[in-house]
This record gives sequence, structure tokens and C-alpha cells, in this order.
Amino acid sequence: MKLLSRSEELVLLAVWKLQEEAYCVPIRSELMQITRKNWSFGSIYDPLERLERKKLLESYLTEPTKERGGRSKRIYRMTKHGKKALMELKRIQETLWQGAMDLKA
Amino acid sequence: MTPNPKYQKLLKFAEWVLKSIHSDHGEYTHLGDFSEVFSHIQAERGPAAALFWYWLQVVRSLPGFATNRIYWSFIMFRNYLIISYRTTLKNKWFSLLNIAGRAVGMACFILILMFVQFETSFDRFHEKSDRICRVISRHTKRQPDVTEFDDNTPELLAEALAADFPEIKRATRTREAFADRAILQYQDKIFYQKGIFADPEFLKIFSFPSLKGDLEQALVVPKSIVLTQHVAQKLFGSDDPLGRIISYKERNRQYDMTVTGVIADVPKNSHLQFDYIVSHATTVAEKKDSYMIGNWNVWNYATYVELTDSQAKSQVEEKFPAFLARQGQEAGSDEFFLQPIRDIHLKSQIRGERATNNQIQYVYLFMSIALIILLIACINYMNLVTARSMTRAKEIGIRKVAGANRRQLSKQFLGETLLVTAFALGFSLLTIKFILPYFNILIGTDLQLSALTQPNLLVLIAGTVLFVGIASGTYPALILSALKPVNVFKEFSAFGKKGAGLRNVLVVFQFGVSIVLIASTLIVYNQLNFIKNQKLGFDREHVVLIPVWEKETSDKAQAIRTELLQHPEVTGVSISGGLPTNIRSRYFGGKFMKDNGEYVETFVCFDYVDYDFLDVFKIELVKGRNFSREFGEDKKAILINETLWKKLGWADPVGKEVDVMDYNRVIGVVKDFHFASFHKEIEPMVLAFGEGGNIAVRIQPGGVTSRVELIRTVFENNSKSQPFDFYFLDDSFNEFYRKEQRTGEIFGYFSLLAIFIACLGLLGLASFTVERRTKEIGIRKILGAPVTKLVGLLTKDFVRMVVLANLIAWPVAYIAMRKWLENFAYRINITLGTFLLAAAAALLIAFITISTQTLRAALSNPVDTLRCE
Repeated sequence: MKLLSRSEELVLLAVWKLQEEAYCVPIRSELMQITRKNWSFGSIYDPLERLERKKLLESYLTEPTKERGGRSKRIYRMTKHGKKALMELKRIQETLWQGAMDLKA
Repeated sequence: MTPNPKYQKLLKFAEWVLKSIHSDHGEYTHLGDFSEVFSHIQAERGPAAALFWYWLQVVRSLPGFATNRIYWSFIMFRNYLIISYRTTLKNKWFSLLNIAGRAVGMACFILILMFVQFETSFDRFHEKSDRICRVISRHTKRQPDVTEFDDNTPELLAEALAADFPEIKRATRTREAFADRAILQYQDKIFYQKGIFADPEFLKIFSFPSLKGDLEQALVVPKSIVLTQHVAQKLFGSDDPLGRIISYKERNRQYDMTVTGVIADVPKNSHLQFDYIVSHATTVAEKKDSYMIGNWNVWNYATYVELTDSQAKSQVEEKFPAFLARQGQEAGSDEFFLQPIRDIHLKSQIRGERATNNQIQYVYLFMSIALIILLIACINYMNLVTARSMTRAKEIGIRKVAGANRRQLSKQFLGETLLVTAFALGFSLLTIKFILPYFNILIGTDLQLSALTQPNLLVLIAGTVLFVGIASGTYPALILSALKPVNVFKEFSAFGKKGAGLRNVLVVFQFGVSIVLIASTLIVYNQLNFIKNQKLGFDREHVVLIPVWEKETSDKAQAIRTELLQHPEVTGVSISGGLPTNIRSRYFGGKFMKDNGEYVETFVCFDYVDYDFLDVFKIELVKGRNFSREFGEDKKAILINETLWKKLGWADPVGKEVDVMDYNRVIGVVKDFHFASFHKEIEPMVLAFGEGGNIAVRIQPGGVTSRVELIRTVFENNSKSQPFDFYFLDDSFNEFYRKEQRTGEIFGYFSLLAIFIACLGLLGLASFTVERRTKEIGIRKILGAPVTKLVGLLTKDFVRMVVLANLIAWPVAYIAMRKWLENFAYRINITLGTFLLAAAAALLIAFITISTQTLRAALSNPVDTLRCE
């Protein structure tokens, strides 16, 4: 299977981390906080849509809330495949880091 | 927290923009995300910042949206184009009918638009055209039986008006030269030209652009003349005309004129038409003309005023009675009104209008007929497309299955119609280019193709294309897009039946209009023929007329007569003021004594004739005798016509004492003859003895050219200073009816066009019907049906529609034409025969059109039509 792009990877990870709160707005603010970069809505929607098409994510709609002007949230949940892909990525990263010199040194 | 309502509105608007540009209209979660962030920011940094952020998002999403949209619409548009192109080529015959019909309809409409634009542009080129008025007058006391206005005013009126009314900024007086055409001569170049006399104010009020010379001063001095460009060009070529002396001859006046200016040629859309202007000071200085200067009783000048403000017209008119009283005129004797010059061409109904006027009704009439023809062309398209919807059914089905919605399909078909219409526009412009010269001759205008580039016409033409496209495309688009894919693939036979009722109604309408036009044309021509074959009371054929323009010719007229009479080809010569087609002077002071001794004053038409007048024009004498060379005292005698005799009720008119001008005795009565057009009843008339400005020569029939040559030689032997010029009495008679003649011709062409386009439509429908019934015909043939019966079967429905159209068209045509005929005092009755003829013509044409299709089908070999199954 092809590797995920960096933005896909980050979004996927954020979805996993946020669990039940994983919809666009918290994902975006989480990523903005951690990366200290501005993420546009488009740059979140796009990976989310792609991941969903690749069946790594699935989504459902919640009840509408007042805060959102009477509109529902689309909450994302990781699928089995998503989990596998994320684990694979983690393995690759960790394997690569193994034996590499400590950057702080 | 209640947000500011203004912010709220802006927010709503932003949301609406986002919603409408997003491809997934139903997906509201994105908007939810946006509004969530919005409220976060609002809580942290206030509503203004939040709103700013929101709008930033909107703006940033636009470029992506735009590229997306353009990309996809291009793809779809290309597809639509290819499909249109293919269907056009696939049904060449059908497409040809379609485009041809529309091109002809549009060409006709655009031509009429150009014509209307020209007609409504009259006199608008003057900068102050909204403020210039012509003074029109009516002599209530002096001519009680004349209710019409005319534009004659006394010479001194202009000055008096300008001095008396603060609302009148300037006033000018102008009159036409006495002779219709005067002679202008420079060295060996000699030309007849039509001109006017005017004072210096004339060129300040009207905007005739100056090319050479100072127009402020050009008309101040006596014997100065301003030429229009083409006259200056003819006389002087490329030399500078300013300051040159030309010789000017008119009747018995002759001047050496100094050219003081050159102006551009007078545009065709001006009611004032002239080739040169002579200064009014010339008339003032001329002794012979002194009687009309400063005289309240001689009315032969036209007065134009420039108002300070376009609203001042009615104020000025209200003050006219008081003004007339100040001028020492008897109250109620004359009435003056102002007429805006923009209204002169289309709305003026005054007597003796100087230029040929049109009537706004005619303009409306042409406009509506052109619209109807355009409508007929649109109907063709509607009928053909819906009838043949079967051919597109599969495509529509596939498109629908692939997800096209009704809106997209409607757009596609509407777009296709527009495309074909634009294509047809190209053809119609090409057509116009070729027929414009003929159209100009027909309507008597001078339209140029370049007129089409005028912005308002361009807009109108674009509007026409849109109108035609939408009018003819909407209905088919709705019908086609409503087809249900399931039905499309299930059974074909249902198609084409859809909307058959409406189609029939439309065909009936088309033919109804065509029949109305044909019947109208026939009636117009019948009336014109009636006029031409009427007993006029004089013989208008074989008479050559030579107008006398200047003094030498006038002096030599008798010599010319004597010499002409020596030739056997010439049977008579009369030198008279009046012509039987042109006795229009009216005299209001005639006094007649009735048999009971009572004096009556009645107006009469009056003109001068000589001894030979009655012989040359073959006018019958019913009582008394003609003027005769043997009776010396005839110089004071008059002839009257039967109408006047009847009006006065004399038992025996011969020898009656009268007082008409200087004449005192009736010597004879002539049979009534039509000396005005058939629009009017014959009026009382007096012919007095005297010579005048026309040499009328009656020639033997046959060999017209050689006879005119003979007359020319004789004329040129005698008169050196007037170029030979002649016309036939016949032509001057026809001039009366030129407008009617023209209307007749235009109706003729319009009805031809209408029936042509209607037939194109019928042809398409017939070929479609035949196509659908080929199998049926094949089977009928095998079973032994004869060709005639088959043709009858296929033709029946169409013929029935044309017959129905007749029934509707007859009353319409009858009412309209009766109204038109009311313009004539002498007119035909509308007979049933005319209508039957129109009906027969329409039926025959329709039948021939349909037969081309039905015959082919009926004659075809059933083997060919049936073998495919």
C-alpha cells in the first residue's frame, strides 16, 4: 500500500487522538497548536475526504447543535485499515530513528 | 449575547455565498464548522474580527470555485456544440428549412428596424431640435371651410415674434424659391437646383455644419448664396468657391450671386430639403417682391422659432391671441400654433407640406407586420423541433440517465436554439446586404448598411436574436427536457404526438396571417387599378410637359408653340399655369350672384389656362364655349366646372356676371374632371384666361423617344438659357398615389414572405408526417390503395387547417381594409371574390408544398419501405 502524505498522516493521527471529538474544527485547532502553522479549512477537509475515500476513516453526522447555527457535525472515526496504516507509519518512523544520532547531542 | 443585526446580515450573506458556490448544496456541516470557528473568534476578539475572518474564507474560496466552474462548463459546452453540430448535419433538410426561415424572418425584421430608425430620426440631428418649433396657422375667418393647418405665415412674423416673446430666443423666416428648381450657372457649367431663401438666423437655429465661410455673415448681404457641398463640388470642382460669382435664374428674376459659404449636404432625414440658400436680403432688395415684405396679408413664408426652453411651447401658444391683437389683427381671424420640428415628419398633417411626409401609423403598421413575420418564423422552429422530438429522444434519455437534470437540458436546448439563431443572423445580414438597394427603391429611403453599427440598432439586433431564440426555444426546451427516460426507451411511437394540438393551432395562425396579407394586397391593388382606370375627365396619356423656369423661355413660349405645331407628330400645344393634375390654388374672395339675386361668397379652386388647354387635355365642354382667339374680350372670361354650377344653382350659367379676382363673366362649363387625387371629392373650380409656367405638348401615340427628341430640338432652338427638361403628365398623375402604390408593393412583398416562411414550416411538418407513416402507406399500397387516395389521406389534415385559417382571416382582413379604403373619396367595394382568390392562392400554395412530400411517399415502392422488418 502507498504511504500516506504528511498532511494525511497528521490529520489521521489527530482524529485518533481526539476520538469522539474528531471533527474539522478541533482537528484544525489541534494541528495549528502543535505545528504552530495556519491550517486552512481546505487543508483539513481535503485529507479527511481522501482518507475517507481510502477507507481509512469513516464518518457519521451528529444531532444539530445551536452553536453551529443548527447544523450537525461530521465526526470521523478511524477504521481498521486506518489503524493499520497509522501503526505502519509509526513503525517506519521508529525504525528509522533507531540507531540515528540524537539530534540534541 | 445578541449580535449586531448588521453583522448578522453580513454573516447570513457570507453563508449564502458559500452555500451557493459549493458543489454539494446539501452539505451543511462545512458551514457548521465555519460558524463554530466564527463564534470562537467572536468570543475572543469581538464580532468585527470574526466577520472579517469569515469573509476572508469566502474570498479565498472563490478562485477555486471559478476555475472549477469554468473548466466543467467548458467541457459541457464543447459537448453541446458537438452534438448541435452533428444533429444539424444529420438532418440537413430540416436544418436548412429552419435556418432559412429564420434568416428571412430576421432579415425582414432588421430591415424594418432600420427603416423605423430612419423614420424616427427625422430632424433630430439639429443640436436644438427639442426647442425648435415651426409656426403653423389657420385662417378661421378668411377660409371657414378649411379646417387644416398650413405652414404659411407673413414675412414679418419672425421679427415680431422674436421681439415680442421673451420665451423665443430666435426666429427665422424662409421660403422656397418660386420655381421648383432654379438655374445656377458658373462659366459653362449649368445646373437645375432646388433652393430656399432664408435670413441669417436660419443657420444659427438649425445645425447645418459649415464647411467653408463664416455662416454668421453668410446670409446678411443681398445676392449672397450658400451652397451645399455637392452643388459647390459640381460647379467649382476642387477650386475654392468662396467669393466667386455665379449666375442665378428663376422665372423672371436673374441675379449675379456671390458664394459666401458652403455647408454639408442636407441629410435625408431632414424635412427641409434644399441645395442652396439665398439670403433673404435679396428678396428685400428686389422691387418685384416688395409686396410680400412687411405685409400682413401676404402669407408665403415659413417661420421657425427657437424657444429658450423646450417646455415653453404652450406658454407661447397661449399668448398668441394677445400678440395678434397688438399687431392690429382682428380677433379670431387667424390662429397660430407651434409644432415641434421633431414631430413634423411623422405626425404633421398640415396642408402643402414641403417634404414627403410619412405617417406614424404606417411606421407602426410596418413594425407590426415585421413582428408577425418574425413570429411565423419562430413558430416554424417550435413546430419542427417538437414534431421531431423523437430524433433527440435517445440523446435526452442517455443524458438523463447519466444524471443531467431538467434545468441543464432546458439550458442545452435553449442554447442550441440561440446558436442556430445567431447563425441565421449571419445569413440575414448577408441577405440584407444584397437586398438593401432594392429595399431603398421600394420604400424610397437611402439606408446604408453602415447604419447597422449604430449602438441603438446593435442593441436592438442583439435583442432580436435573444427574443427569437427564447421565443422559439422555450417551448421545445420544456417539451424535450420533460421526456421521461423510461418512456424514451420503451416506445417511440408516442413522440411527435405530443403537442400536436398546439402545433395545429400555430399552423392555423401562420396561414391566417398569410391570408390576411394576401387579401389586403389584392384589395390595395384593386383600389389602385380602380383609380388608374377611372374616367378622369381628361386624357392623361401622350402629353409631354415642359416647365418654364426662367424669363427667356417664358418670352419664347409662343414661338416654341408655333414651331412645334408645324410638325405632324404634335397635335396640340397649351401654355397654361394649371395642369389638370394640379389645380391647387384656392381663392376665397369669389362673389357670385344666384338666380334669386342673392350674392354668395364661396371658395373655388383657381388656375390660369390658355385657348388650347381644353383641346390638349381633351376636357369636354358641357355648356357655352371655350376661350377663343376670335373673341377679343375673353381676357376677362372664366370657365367653371359642373360642381360649381350645381353649387350655385344657376339655370343657365353662360353669360353670368361674377367677381373672381379680376374676372367678371362666365362663358362656359366644363365637365367635372379629377384635378386632385381620389382621396378628395371634386371641388368647385374656376379656369381663368391667362398663360403660365407649363408648356403642354400633346403628341401622336407611338415613338415616344423620337417625339421627345423633336420637342427638345425645337425647344433648344428657341431658348438658350434653360436646359431642356420634361416629364409626362402620366407620371405626375402617378405621383398622387405613390404612397398607396408603395404600400401595395410592400404588402405584396410581406405577404410573399409570410406565405414563404409558413410554407417552409408546412413542408417540414409534412415531411415529418410522411416519414412517420411510410410503413402505413406501404401496407395500404400492397392492399391496393390508389395513389390519389394516398395523397388525399396525407393532405387532408393540412388542407383542413388552411381552410380553418381562412375562416379566421377573412373578417380580420375585411375590417382592416375597410378602414384603409376610408382614406379615399372614390373607392371600390370589398367583394367576396377577393377573399376567395386569397383563399384559393393560399390553398394552392399549401397543397403544392405538401404534395412534394406526399407524392413521393405515395409513389414509393412498398418493397423499399417494408423490407427492413
